[in-house]
Amino acid sequence: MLSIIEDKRINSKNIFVDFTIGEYLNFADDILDNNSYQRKRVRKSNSVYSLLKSDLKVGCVIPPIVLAITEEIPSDKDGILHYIYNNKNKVKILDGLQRTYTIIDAFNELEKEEREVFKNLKVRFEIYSGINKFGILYRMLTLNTGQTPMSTRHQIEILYKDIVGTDFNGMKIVSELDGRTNNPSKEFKFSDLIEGLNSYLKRDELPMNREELLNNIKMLDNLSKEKVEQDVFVDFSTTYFYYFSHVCVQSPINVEEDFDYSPFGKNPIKAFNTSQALTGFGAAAGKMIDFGIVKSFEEIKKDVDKIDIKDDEWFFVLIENLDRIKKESKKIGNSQRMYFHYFFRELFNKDGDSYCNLQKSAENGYQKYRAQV
Amino acid sequence: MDTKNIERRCDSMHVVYNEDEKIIRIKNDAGKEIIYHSSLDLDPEYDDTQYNFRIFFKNDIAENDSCMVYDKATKIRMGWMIPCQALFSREHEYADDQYFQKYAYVAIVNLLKFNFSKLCGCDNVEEKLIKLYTMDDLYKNDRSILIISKENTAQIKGFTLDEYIPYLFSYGYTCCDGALDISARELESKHINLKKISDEISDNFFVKELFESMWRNNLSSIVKFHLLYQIIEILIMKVFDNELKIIVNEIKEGDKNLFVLKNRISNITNENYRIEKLFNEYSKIQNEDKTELVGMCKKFLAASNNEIEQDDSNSKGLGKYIYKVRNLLFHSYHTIPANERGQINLINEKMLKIIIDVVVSYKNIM
Repeated sequence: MLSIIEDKRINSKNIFVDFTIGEYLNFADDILDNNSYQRKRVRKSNSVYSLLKSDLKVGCVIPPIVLAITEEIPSDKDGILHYIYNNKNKVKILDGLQRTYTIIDAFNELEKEEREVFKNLKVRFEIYSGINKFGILYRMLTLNTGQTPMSTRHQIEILYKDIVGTDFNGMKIVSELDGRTNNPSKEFKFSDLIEGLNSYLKRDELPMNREELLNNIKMLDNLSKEKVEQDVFVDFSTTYFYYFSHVCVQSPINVEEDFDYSPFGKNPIKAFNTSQALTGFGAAAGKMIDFGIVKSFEEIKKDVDKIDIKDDEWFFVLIENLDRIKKESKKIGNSQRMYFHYFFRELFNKDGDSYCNLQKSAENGYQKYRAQV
Repeated sequence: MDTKNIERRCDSMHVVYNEDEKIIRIKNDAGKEIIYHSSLDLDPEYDDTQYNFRIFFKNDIAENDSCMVYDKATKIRMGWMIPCQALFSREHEYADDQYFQKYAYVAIVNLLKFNFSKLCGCDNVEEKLIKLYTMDDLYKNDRSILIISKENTAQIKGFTLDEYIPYLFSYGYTCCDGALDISARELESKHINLKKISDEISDNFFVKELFESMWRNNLSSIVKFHLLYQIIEILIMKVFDNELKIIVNEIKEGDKNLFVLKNRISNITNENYRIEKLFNEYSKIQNEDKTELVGMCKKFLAASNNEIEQDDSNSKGLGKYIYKVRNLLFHSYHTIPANERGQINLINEKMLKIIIDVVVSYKNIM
């Protein structure tokens, strides 16, 4: 049975179709690899999934498994299956990961004769076709309403992990396992970018607390305001890379080896290629957009062109303030993020005294930070 | 030896540390497991079972405040005092210190084992993030962990940690929740140098109990004064015993003026006199602290319309003024104007500092 509905919120087709378990097993293992950032399977022997496994073997009907494919796919069932078999790496599971594991486990536990019967049982699928990454993210959040929740941060990681190891808008994106970037002027850690985007969506530079982890409402609200046609991750990253290239990469500043303390970064490249700076930027951009101080990331990019980078003093002010923060703060990482947040707010606020002035932003940003702590 | 996975098995807990991934796995005999992702680089060289730990609270702890802890008398390093927040962050200046990384490993493994059953309960959500947050929730910004090496402290004769707790108070570390109202002692070369309770009073349970479990910042000021004064009561009894011994020995030696001796016996029955002796002869207190406390007591007594003698020099007469304050609080509290009662807090703060110096330096004179 096949049914196709247009999801107008995320500009995507929603296809409702049955496959046999056998047809699903032909590609299930492969698409599980596409979801390697997702939760590990739940292994408790007395869990609901253990019960589900027993029920599946006797032919119960489970809720639809939801898949997402960024390209447009054929509208007939055979065409869909053919597409999936040939493009397994493009299929993501939005909802139903644990059910997929359960189906595979149930199959593996059956005797040979029982398996043929099992393979002919049917499972319903909802497939979003022609959906962009932002749409996938939005749908994942709205679908993820209970049982074993996943954080937005994790879901963003799943969606964008295919950029790891690639050149993305002028910068190479490296994974956590690669360690510190070898060439910080040209490489960014994937996890740092994700944190930065997370902070933009949350309008908050601080790491998620437990309550936020389990309750994505605020982020969902902010997400719902974003334009679906644009990929907010791309906008965020390219704007930051633009600032980074213009201000940091171009800067000749390098702190001497015999400096009397260990600075946050020996040069602007090292200081701004950090999760602290990215999350500060993300939160600042989000807040400024909310307050109408800037309209978009495009506007921030234009402001970057106006930043005067003639002298070096701004960087010494910045790292001295960061050093003070290191000595006094109860949670250094959080305090550093907050300082960067105010730094960027000062830098891109047209109505402020520090607009496009790095030194004043470093000074006034610190005052604003102190007023908060 | 496989350097990537370090395994230890003891206390019915199996600990495995993967250095590349910075993951600690701890499994108990029942097969329950917790997985901890460290943000710090850790060095698993030290065996965590060869260390003891204790949690302390401190007002305004900075993440950067890790320091080594020494026994001042023997100069033996006992261990490290580490703000718990420093275990979850690599932003502080000790994150790359090789010794810190060893102690941090010991601290984290001990904390994970200690909280094993609590942490086991949260395996139905994202393991990595929840467990990190859970440790962060369990050990908030105001807590520090003192990690003590069993091997090192075995070299200190008769070592027990609770004898050092009063002196830790002077650095601002308390055993009970809540900020401590004390101007914390400065570190010496970034070290904590601890003195223990004097051997001559270390068998007194109340002295330890006061600092370990009774002192809380939310106690009322009059209760705090009373508790501190109990230490004075304990010690002036010892002063009495010792002074009496001295007099008896002198009598035995003969050729003493019995009238003079009778006066001395009469003096030592006087509480005031014994308090003076305690502060001036039986213990070592900074003159500056004595002077300040005398000044505070005089100001408080004057504000409560008590008579003050004008001719005392400031650091002398501490015993007398403490005794007057004590009498005022215990017998005439109702006469203290409401707006002057806040001064009791200031007196308590200074008195706490002095009492700590007294308990670590008390010595019977011969």
